[in-house]
Amino acid sequence: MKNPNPLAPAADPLLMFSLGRVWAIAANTMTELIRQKVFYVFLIFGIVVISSATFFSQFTPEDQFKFIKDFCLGAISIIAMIFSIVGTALLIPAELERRTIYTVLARPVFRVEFLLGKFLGQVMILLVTVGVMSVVFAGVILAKEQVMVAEARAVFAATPAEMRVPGDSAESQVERIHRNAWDSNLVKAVVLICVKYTLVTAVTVFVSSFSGSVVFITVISFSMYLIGHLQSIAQEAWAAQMDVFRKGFLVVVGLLIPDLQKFNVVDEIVLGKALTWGQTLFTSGYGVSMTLAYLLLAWLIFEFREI
Amino acid sequence: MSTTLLHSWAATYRKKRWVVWIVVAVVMLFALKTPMETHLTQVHKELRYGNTRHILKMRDHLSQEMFLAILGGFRGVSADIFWILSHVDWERQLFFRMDKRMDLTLMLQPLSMHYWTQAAWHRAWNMSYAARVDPHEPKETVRLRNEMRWIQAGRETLERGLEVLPESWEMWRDYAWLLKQKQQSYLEAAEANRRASELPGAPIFLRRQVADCLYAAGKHDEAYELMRRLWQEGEVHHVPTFRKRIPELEAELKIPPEKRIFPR
Repeated sequence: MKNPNPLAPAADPLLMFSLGRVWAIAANTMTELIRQKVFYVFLIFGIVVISSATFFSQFTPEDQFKFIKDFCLGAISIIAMIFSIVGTALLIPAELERRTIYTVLARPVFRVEFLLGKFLGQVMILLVTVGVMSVVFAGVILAKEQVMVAEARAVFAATPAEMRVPGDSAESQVERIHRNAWDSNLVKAVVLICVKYTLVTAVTVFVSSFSGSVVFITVISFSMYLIGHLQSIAQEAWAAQMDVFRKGFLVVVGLLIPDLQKFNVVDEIVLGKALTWGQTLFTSGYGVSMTLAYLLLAWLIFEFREI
Repeated sequence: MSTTLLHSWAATYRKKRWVVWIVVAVVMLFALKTPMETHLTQVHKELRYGNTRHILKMRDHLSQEMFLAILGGFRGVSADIFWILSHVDWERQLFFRMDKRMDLTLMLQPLSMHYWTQAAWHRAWNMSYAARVDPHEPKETVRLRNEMRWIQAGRETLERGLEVLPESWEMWRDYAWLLKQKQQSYLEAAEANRRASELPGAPIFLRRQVADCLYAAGKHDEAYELMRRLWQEGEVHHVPTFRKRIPELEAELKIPPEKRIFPR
């Protein structure tokens, strides 16, 4: 059912473009995703992983908090990756399979509105999931901190004065625990995770714009995700040894696929080597511009797609 | 003919001009991609993020899944898993496997000062002691040689760590402590303590440690000069060790009474 005139029903789509319709589709998509049981399974799985990060009590306080932060941010990233690739891959093919897309597009709804609505619905669910997991993450850190502070005070009180380290006090130990537990830079890590997986969602929407197979979309999107991580490594490590043909191929890949390593700063943030807010915003700006580019490409392809 | 063609193109353009604008926007956004990435690469280099070459060197030691996980952005989690496994090896006294796993952790997260200091401590203290009292090795000379090897491994761990994190006073302090306690290399320990004490955030006692190491190295005149200077800086350095050692050195170095801190 090809649309003979992609600009219909208006002469200029920008004049008639309705954010209200986009919001209606986005809200509908979000409701649809929330009603799926798999959403809760993944969310509960993520929360369980985050909560289990507190089990390593035989390590030093520095180790324990590092483990909690690494495991929690890792769990958030994994769940966000699954949502942004698998969740998004199901969106448009499911509409095609159920034929509900025809009832939507038969109304005065532009294809771009449909596509954007689907994307925003998925991004909202991604943000809600990351938000919920981040709150649990903060709760886990708080709980661990309280337990460790209580332990430190008890151990200090039980230690005879002559066996204490000179200059040491219960408060200095509490301060050390507090310093290891809380780091405002973790907010930057969560922001960059959100931006990265919003971009991955846009890449998956782009692949969905020309394919109706869930398996194909998932595999291609996941491959693009891996290439996105590998390309800068390939450029740095192997570019010098490559022939012109391969180098050219690498340049093309570098031009078309976003470099996802640029968002891979979570480990360094956990180690206390954080980006400034300016650098975080610049990285986010890079992510947003790439998201926009992939959405525009998806629109272009989806507009002319035979449905 | 050409006019008709032009009219036809113009008509097509009017109908599809939004396509042209989208293409222009996409091209512009992709044109921005490379400069933005170059800037971010520069920022990451300045902050010493990433360690591609180290990761690639590790390919032979890792499973395919672990390697992909590391490249896919889960480097910190992978390092933590190796560290936890190395701890399990320690509990089981599987020191060579532990050594390998600690190396993998260090390669994955070279910016973690804590991993460097812990790995060095395990090698120079725990593993070396285990080698010294190894019940499976009857020859004492072999046990002592093995002990020395582990201590040296601990020293090299900290030296590698200091190449990556030269601004960490904690690592210089641990390096000095190892040189002093395990290798009795007091002059080198004094120098390491001096480096540690000059870094921001270093505790004040590290300056006294320099004097202490110089004294242990037999450099009594230099040790005295430093102790004297520190003593004159104020109450914070009036510690029992100095109270005992300064008069001893003043007597030993035959310092004239009028120049002594503790005149007879």
